[in-house]
Amino acid sequence: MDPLQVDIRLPRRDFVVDLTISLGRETLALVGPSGSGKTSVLRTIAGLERPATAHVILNGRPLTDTDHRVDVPVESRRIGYVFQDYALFPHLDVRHNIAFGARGAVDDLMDRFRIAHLSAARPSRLSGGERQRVALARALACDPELLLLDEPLSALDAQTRPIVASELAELVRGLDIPVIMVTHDFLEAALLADRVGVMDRGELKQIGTAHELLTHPADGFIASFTGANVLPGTASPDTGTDLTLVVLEDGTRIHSTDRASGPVDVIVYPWEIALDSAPPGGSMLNSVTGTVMSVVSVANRVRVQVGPLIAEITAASAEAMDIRVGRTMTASFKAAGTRVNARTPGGRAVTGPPV
Amino acid sequence: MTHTGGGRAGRALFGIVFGGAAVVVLVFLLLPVVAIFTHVSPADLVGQLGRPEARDAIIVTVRTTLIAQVLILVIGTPAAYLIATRSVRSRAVTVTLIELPLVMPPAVAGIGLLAAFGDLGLLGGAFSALGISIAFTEVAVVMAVAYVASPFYLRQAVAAFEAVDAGLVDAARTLGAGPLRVFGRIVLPLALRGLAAGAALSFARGIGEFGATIMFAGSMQGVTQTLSLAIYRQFDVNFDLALALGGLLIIVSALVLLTTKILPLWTRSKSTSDSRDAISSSI
Repeated sequence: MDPLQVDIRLPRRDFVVDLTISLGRETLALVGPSGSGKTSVLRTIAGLERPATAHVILNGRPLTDTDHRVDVPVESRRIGYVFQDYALFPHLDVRHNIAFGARGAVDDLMDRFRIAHLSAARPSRLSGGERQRVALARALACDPELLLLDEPLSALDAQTRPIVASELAELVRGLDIPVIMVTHDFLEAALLADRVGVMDRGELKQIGTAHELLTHPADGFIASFTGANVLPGTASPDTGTDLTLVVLEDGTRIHSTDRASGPVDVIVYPWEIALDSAPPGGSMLNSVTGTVMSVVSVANRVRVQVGPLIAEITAASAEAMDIRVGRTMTASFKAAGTRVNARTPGGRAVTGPPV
Repeated sequence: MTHTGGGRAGRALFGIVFGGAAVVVLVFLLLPVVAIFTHVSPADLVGQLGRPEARDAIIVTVRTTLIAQVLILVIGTPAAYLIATRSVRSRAVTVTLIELPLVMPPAVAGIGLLAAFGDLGLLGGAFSALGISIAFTEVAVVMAVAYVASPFYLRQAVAAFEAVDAGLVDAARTLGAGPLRVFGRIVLPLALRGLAAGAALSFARGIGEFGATIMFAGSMQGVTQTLSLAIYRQFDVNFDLALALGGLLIIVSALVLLTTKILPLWTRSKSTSDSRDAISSSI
């Protein structure tokens, strides 16, 4: 049996957080937009929040069982918790923060987390990355049986985040306990976690490896969450080919190798899209001509919005093509580079790609 | 005339009215203080304090104030913490009830204490049966002082505990700390500055207590006559002695005031860390 079993029903003001997970010695990332109930899940597992219905079993020990009035106090749960703002004790130096609940050797831990030289520093003197390492070391010093990380990177600025993220990924991978982290950033989840669960309005929509979510998103919401373009339209078999024709709401015609009919979402990843100044030939290519709405640099790549689509190309080719806001460009992608998902009745309408 | 207000004449008028008001305020508030120290020579003032009436009043005041403040701190601190951690509504109700003695005239507090703890009062019968009589004893002084002074401490302490980041308490709990350890290691140190300010206010109010004490404890030299009561007793008997006692209380009050001003500066320069400032951008 997996070390951690969680089953929670937590009514919120306008939806119910409803979640059942079983976790081995692996890292699970719960992702979803803010307000989707992710932090409540962590707080409930830690015992900081008491829902109407909850069952939490860790290594065979029931921690919360609302049916049998089991509610182990927070301090007796052996669950490490790294808070979003790290919650370091401001009046204690780094060493005393880590030693606060420590069961083992504090010095070894400080060496491993490269914070030994900060031993006597107060938290206010630390950088964001250092604070995060102290918070993580402090949680692990208690020798927890489960580690919870709430938005571990959100308190950092854009420049430090990628560096700290890869450090964190390395530290988390070295742990031999279940880890649950919460984030609103799919790429962060993909980097840090073995499995990713997408939450929306309290509901776990899909759970799987980041690769599974990217290649087989259950619906348009998940696809758009992973960074894909999601284009709603109506599908029918294309006459004369074995492709599917999807007519988008604005009349644009898209061909896909996926089979579907009726109301659908066409899913295209930004890196499947090429940009040109004139429409290219080739019958296998879908193309959308439009005005460049925005150009955003992300590391050595550039995200360009053309009409309803976001394309991601290298910075070098963006410069070579002189892509500027206001220019007319053609975005093209292969029929095989698209996914077509039937839209679930009553599902949320995804009207455009995320920016 | 422009909207910035009237040229040289306007400026002159401003100087006379506003400057004059400031001078009046300062002179009015400080003149009595100066008068106490100039009416009689300092040597005479010190000499007066050696008289038995003065010595008795000092002893009674120090003893009752000390006991009252210790009781306020020891019982008030945990009580304030409990109140601060309740729901917003019950906290508001409780704090309002606590503040009632604050707005109550001291004479009313005195008569109320008599009605509750006096020999003929609400609990007086029970105390009499045990052979205990509280009114007009040193215990009554302590109770009167505690009654009027404790709300100053409680109110400030509740505010200080409320200001402690609940996230730090959560963090301490996930690190295995039970409620006592959370209170001792996290909440108390972080609330200390606010608690000290509350204690200073409560001390200042307590040492000047007059109305409730004279009603509930009387003014018996060496038993219940505190410095404030002795000033009242002496001002038509020995005016110089009354002035000397007044001078002593001014010095004590000034020291308390100075402490409340200096303490925050000192703790701030010692540790800049109690503000959880924004996370810096470098790593």
